[in-house]
Amino acid sequence: MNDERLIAVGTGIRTVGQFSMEALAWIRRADKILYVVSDPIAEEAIKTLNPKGAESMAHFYGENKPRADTYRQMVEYTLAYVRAGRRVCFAVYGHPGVLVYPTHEAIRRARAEGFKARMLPAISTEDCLFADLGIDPVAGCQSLEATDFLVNSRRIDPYSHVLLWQIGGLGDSTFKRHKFDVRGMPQLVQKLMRLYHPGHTVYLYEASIFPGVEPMIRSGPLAYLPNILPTASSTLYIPPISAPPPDTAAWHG
Amino acid sequence: MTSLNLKTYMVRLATDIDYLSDFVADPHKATEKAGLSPQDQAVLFSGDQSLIYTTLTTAPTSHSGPHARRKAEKQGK
Repeated sequence: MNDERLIAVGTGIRTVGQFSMEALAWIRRADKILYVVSDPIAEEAIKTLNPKGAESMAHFYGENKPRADTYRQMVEYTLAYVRAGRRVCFAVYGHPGVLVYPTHEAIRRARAEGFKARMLPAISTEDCLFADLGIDPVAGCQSLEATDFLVNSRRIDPYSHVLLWQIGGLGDSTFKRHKFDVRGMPQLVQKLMRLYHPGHTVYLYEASIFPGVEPMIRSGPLAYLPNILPTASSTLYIPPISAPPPDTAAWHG
Repeated sequence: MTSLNLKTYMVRLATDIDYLSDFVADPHKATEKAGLSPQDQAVLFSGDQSLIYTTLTTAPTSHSGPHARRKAEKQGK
């Protein structure tokens, strides 16, 4: 127990109040903390908890550099410390397993090389969205990366809640420091209008990262979406068109 | 109590349950107790994410937070 050589943790979306005690403890006790966080409180908290071991991996990002290259470098860098016998904590903002490739890959490879590795759950944007928009996913919820939905043959159930992540980076696989390209937005809306009425209300959501700040929630008809510029952190939420029709062929009760 | 700047205070909120429980009970009283300047209090209570972010990224850093302080106290420093 607790003999992991690699542990992946998340700082939550709003560091104040969402940073778990277990994550704090691992950060404090690890030999090396490699982190990728987006807000200055999370970064400062990590440095304060473990001043000798904390190191940002943000330098692996580069303007217009493919994110896949950055992620590969982060994984290699992390594993080098694990192989060197250090107890490594890989800390990211949000949940370490939601929309984060390098944490999953680092754990998979560490285990393949015989090292004990584990991921801790944390609060993701999805958790914040459920709370802020009052959605219960038990009614059916589909969660897809927006570009994945656009370029692949995905099927959406319009009777479910639908979340399209990273709508602000639609069709763009490179890193942008300030504003992502949303060149695919008209095509995305056309694809969604195969299932939804152009007037169906959709929401752009961005969770708050500081206490006392309200989440950003903008709503409007689906057809109007290409006229709105989402931020890099925006998620598109599409409510169900209605309650699902009964399936009388499967159930006659 | 030593006065804290905004960044140090928010790190304490994120990592120390005593600070956070004071804050959720009465945010204004808690920030005054922590010695936050009126300017930093105004920023924290502005509800403006961009303003808070900008203030935090220009604030000086401190790595002598509660954990380092407690460790030093245990070591008799």
